[in-house]
Amino acid sequence: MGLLDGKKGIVTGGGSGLGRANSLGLAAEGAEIAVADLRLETAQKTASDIVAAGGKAVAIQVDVSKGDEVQTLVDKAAESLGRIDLLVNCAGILPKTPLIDMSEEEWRRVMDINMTSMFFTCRAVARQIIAQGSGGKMVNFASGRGVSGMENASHYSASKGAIIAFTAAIGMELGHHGINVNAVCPGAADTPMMRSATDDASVEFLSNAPYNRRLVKPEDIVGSVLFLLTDLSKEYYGQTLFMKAT
Amino acid sequence: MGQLDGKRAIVTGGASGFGKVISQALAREGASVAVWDVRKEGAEGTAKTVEAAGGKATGVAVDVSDSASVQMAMAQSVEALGGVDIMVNCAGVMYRTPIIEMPVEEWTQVISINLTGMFLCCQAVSRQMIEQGTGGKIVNFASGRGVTGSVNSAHYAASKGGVLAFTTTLGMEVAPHGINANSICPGATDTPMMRGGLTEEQVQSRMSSDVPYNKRIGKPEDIIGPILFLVSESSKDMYGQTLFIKTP
Repeated sequence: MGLLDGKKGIVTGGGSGLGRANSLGLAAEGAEIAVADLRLETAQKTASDIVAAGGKAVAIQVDVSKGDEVQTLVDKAAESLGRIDLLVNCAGILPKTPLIDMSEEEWRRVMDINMTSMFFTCRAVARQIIAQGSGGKMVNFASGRGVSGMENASHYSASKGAIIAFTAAIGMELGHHGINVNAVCPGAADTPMMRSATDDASVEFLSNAPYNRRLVKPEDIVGSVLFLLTDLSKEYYGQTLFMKAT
Repeated sequence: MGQLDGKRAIVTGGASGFGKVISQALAREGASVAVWDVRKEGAEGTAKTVEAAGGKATGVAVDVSDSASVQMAMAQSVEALGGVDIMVNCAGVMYRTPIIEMPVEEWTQVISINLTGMFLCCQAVSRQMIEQGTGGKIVNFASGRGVTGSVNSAHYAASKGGVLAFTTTLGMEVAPHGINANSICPGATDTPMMRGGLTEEQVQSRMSSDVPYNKRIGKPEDIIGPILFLVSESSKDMYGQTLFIKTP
């Protein structure tokens, strides 16, 4: 008996980091997962690990920054799983570049992948859920950096701040259709993205936070996502759950 | 099989509103509950409803703004329950008075109950949990009004802003002991406190206008899910955070 028995969900960025942990965590609670990632082989690895653990999953390649590819993802997932109840948006990137050196191209790439992707996925999945007449749940990964800012990552910070505002707006809009959309800000977790953007001294610092004295693991985030995907959060619309102080 | 089987919980302000439904919900999930309230018969009334539903509860009279009273209630609860694993602090008051007309006695009373009461209860339960060596969960009721302010309730707004900052600090201080302390801001909810000082017409107007997306003002029961999240393993890596149920 899992918390998500019979539910069907899409997890973007499911090939690594938080997306992988959420795919595994949701499947362990009984959900069938469409694991979406730009790198198909990483999505396939997550899906095969789910199947090996007794769960159900399919891997789907997608560039979430492209509207037509996202539509194809949602169509394929709905066909394969039979319906869509859940969406967890983890796909994102974090290049480190000072503002004065940042190219317009890099700025746009981060916005497209981190932010516009959520517009595409939330829109497509909302249409699907409304057509089903079923209600559903969406969780968008934002970041405390969207509030506090992050040095040499002005594009990332801006994209994550935008996700918080976007989620607040569609939380109200989609609430009318019985869909709960909320955002989560996980704080620094030990993922490939965090490692690539963080120097050793900062990792050491994060590993010695005075209150828990350890680096948060990706699987530690799953509890908050489960809260946002279950009936426990049924009166929760467009809110942002901060797991760490910003 | 409840998700809180074997847990021992204290809920302050348990006679009515949030405290009452939370006492009942924790008990339904298997916790034994000490229901605290300044109104002894109210606390006992909630405890009776829990027992009538097959749960375990005891009513405890307490003035949360009084240090000696809190310590006595804690000792009494620990004896009755055999320890404490969870504390949910709902006790609070709100009055509607403009600042320019507010007597200092009213200001002091609200701060004493809502903020100093939170300090006294959290201090007492933290000491108990640390002595037990078991870790634990603390949830403090703050309010979005602590961020946005509240016309004609400056004392309430200030006390709730204080609860937010206090809980952030408490969360970090008690974390090394395996205690998760977090706060929750429920948003406007149909409780006796919300109705206080409002005409039925004003209440109805709030119910229809406050929440366009779900077309109704919150019911006390709506808080149960978020509370269960904050007193369960799902939130084990949250320390001193604030969970807003509605946009403040």
